[in-house]
Amino acid sequence: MALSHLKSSSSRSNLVKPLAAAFSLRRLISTSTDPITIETSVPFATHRCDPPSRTVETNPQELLSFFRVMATMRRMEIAADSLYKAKLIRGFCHLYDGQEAVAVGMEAAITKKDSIITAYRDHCTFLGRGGTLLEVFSELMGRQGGCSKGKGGSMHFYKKDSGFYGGHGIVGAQVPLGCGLAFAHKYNKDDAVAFALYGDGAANQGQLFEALNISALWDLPVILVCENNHYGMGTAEWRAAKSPAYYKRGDYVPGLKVDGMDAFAVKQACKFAKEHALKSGPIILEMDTYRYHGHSMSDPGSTYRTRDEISGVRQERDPIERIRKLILAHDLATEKELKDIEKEVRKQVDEAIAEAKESPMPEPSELFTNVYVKGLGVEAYGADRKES
Amino acid sequence: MTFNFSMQAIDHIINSAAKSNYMSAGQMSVPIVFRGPNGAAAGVGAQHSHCYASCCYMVRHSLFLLKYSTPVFVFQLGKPRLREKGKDVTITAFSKMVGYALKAAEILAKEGISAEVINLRSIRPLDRDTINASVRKTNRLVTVEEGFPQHGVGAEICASVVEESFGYLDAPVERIAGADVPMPYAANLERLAVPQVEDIVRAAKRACYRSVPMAAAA
Repeated sequence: MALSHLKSSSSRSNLVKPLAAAFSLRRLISTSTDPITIETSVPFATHRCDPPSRTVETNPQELLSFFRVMATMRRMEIAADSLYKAKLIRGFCHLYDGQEAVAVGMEAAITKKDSIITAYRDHCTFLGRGGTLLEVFSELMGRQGGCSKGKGGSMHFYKKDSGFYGGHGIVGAQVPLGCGLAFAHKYNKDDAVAFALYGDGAANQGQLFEALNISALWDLPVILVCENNHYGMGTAEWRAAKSPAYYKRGDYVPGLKVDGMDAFAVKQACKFAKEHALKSGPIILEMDTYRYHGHSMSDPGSTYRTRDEISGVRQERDPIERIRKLILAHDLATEKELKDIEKEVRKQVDEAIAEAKESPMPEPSELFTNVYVKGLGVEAYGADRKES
Repeated sequence: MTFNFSMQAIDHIINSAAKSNYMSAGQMSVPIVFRGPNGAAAGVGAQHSHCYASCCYMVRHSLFLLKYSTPVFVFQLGKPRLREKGKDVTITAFSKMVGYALKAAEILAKEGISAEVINLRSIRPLDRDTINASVRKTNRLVTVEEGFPQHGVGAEICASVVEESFGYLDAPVERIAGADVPMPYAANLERLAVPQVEDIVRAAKRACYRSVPMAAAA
């Protein structure tokens, strides 16, 4: 369990507490920005670099925001599961529940000027970048209100105005693109970095190492983040990789192994990585995380791992539970208040789904838009060229 | 997985596999079968729905069979299969489109048009003789494919027929192909992006000069 060192302001609250109880004052959920320090659960493992400090500074506002955002992400993914089974979502649907700490911790360390690019397990990353629940559900159901106007689907969420570059279906292809985003940042001299996320399955892709090589040669501000949930579809990491120490795979590129279920460890690592990337070029972060669902909705997720393993992780390492315990330990909110937040989140998700269901399907003319930029004036045909 | 992922290995498929027998004058025969699902599924979006039939460049033998095929059946490489004998119009198709073409033939039969459906099976080598023989009999041709129209299988068949059987054609060759756009996700757009049975029926009727005049421009 994380240790916490309360500062002087909180020791005051220790005196105030019994008084408040005595007077039955209604204590509001703390939204103060008074600093709280927390230690990460596990030390960082390093490769060719010194680890960042295990002590992370945060505040009640951030802790509660982490809780709310992660609860929203969790609820959203579970709702997507039901929608898929109700056949309102078609095709592929890859869920992120269990891995929320990575998305949330990363956002806390960076700005919207920095770029993020990921693979197909992108719903929560999109939400973290400022996407709304309505945009998510509309896109999943193929409606106009979706972030890609219904034309992309689950694997192709984008939000360019906040630096989210998708949403990619071909395994590993997003990594060279991420290095390219970093190249653009360096070229534009905008002091921003690019985070290229990939999984343990993609970690063995050759294109990753090619892109890493050129990024290291050119000192590009790219951070490669391996979201290691230990299974590439149904293949366990020890069967897929000779060396599953993905943070070391960069060889000449420094790396850090991070507990991906601890949002504060993720935040600290991403902050550290951004500073490093801006100064000295690429760095690899391996997030040790876990997905509760199978690879996608067509995978039960229990043929290659035991149910005990899944429930074990849920009990010992769940990212939302960790934040809940921290909030309660620091007395920032009561159990009931946190449950109320969860109820509120559930309501928001349900409302977003209802609104998304009302969103219309795209107009047939949308079939032909965005083929060329600025509508070159070239005609595009449907299945029957002579039938307009 | 699907042939969409084969693009990551396309250099090896073409340069290391397909060309080797030629470059080595027969020493390296590379007897490999690349097997995988191709074309559109339901709702899998732009990067997972590409049809690779027309991309067989230097690949000497490529077959496009029914997606969820019956258990192993023996056939001869390069030989198409005549699915339906007819006398008014020839319809060529392969893979999933064969089923659609057969349904279209049923609908056309009710309207008195007898369609001959050829399941190409082998794209390369393409049996031009069989196709041309059929067109010389029916004098009209509709080509059907899931992939993009430009430089597609239908384009090659049309060129072949124009080269070999120009005098026998009584109507322009009709091409039905996938929409010239990346596959959209939304269900209604996806349906518009792939050929449907009614598209094939309409094209066959046009080839037989039986359709109503083209819709007036808006």
